[in-house]
Amino acid sequence: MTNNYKDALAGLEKAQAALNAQDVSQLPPVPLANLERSKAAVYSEIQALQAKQFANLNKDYAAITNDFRNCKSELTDLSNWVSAREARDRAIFSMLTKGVSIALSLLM
Amino acid sequence: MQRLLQIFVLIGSLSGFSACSVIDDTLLTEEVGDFSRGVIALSAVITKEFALAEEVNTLGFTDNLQFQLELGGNPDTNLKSLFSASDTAARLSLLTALSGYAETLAAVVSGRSLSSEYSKLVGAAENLKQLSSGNFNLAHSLSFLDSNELVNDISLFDKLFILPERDEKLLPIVEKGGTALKKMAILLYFDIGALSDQSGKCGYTYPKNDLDTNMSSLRLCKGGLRSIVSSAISFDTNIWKDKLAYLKAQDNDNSDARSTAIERLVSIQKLGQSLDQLLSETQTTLIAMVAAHETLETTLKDAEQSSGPPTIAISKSILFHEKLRGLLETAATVKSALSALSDSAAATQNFQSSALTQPSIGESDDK
Repeated sequence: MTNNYKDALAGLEKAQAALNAQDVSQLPPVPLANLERSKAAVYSEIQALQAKQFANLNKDYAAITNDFRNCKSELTDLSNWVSAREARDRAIFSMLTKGVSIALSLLM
Repeated sequence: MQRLLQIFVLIGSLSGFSACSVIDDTLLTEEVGDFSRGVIALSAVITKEFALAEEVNTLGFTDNLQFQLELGGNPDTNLKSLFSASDTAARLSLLTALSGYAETLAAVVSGRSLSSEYSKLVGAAENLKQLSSGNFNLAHSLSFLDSNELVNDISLFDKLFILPERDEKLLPIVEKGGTALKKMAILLYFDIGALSDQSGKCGYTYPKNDLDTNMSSLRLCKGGLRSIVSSAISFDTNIWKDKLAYLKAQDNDNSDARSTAIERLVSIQKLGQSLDQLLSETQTTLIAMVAAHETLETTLKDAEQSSGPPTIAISKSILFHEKLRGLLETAATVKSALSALSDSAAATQNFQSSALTQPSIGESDDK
């Protein structure tokens, strides 16, 4: 997916909002740790984009922090974990799925 | 009230100035001294605000790291600061120059030697020449061309610092300084930014801002330090929300841990509110500073023309001091809120839920 930096920031904020909206009380510790690491990576990328002055915000986006680039495996693990659940669980974790999906789309 | 009385006396005494008069009036010295101290105090607050943002970012990093470790995760342990060293240095150069200008005014009006001020100012002016728009956070609301122009205008501030050597009269310095001071204030105003879009144009372009008109009319898009701080507060807040939700699902008695999480959750949100208030008040104080400087210029011009300054202009000087007083009070509130959080963070590090003896990432992850 091609995004410019402005769209990417909006996408990251959407991903962050969805991940934050997920009720984690039914999430086991390991996926939860994965989620917290992914959230930290999304946060780092948002802050890096916010703190940087771009000459051209419409340039094609590529992740600028190692944190975000490296969290692809955590996001994929989370996506796989939810996919392997029963339908009822997948509905419970719909916000998580949404957030992970947006974040992964920015790393394609 | 006493302050008002002083100002009315000042109006009366200034009306007697002629073009050749030596500026030795006590009240004028006081007025310029107050303005100078105000600018220096404001610069110090802004410097601290960037440091506060880094502290909030560190709090979030620490809390996230702690939570991931408690969950048996494998967190990244490298803290990333929000601002690069060169961006921090650029802001410091700008604020040093602003304070230096204010100190020069106070030195000129009080008849002090300018040599010691001048050596400091030369260094500050040299640093200003190195400034680049890339060191600031302007892209949210200004085009790259406008950002460059604003920073280039500020780099010309060095010409002002030649004046004290050449002409120690206050008016020519204040006349030239006004433009540079306003550009600096605008740059800082944009750099501090906004929590949300203030113009319908933000979604697709930049708001139309005339940088030569009244600063109160500036319209910003979401971004800058306010948005960065808000993101940092939100990040930390959500860690504690998740921790609380996680604790709620545990079978064991963890009421102490839950109390700690609740306390932190509330404290961080309160800190976020105070911090944004501080940043917002800083922006209004910058506007008031520019208006107070214009008042000073008007006062000096009127004094040279032997006519009394308008009372309405004098009220802008009072407004600057009132805004600054409020700003310093808010800064004290933020400092105390952050200290309380940092103190409790140490205690929180000991928090370990007995239920958190879980496998690490990569091992079986189902309960």
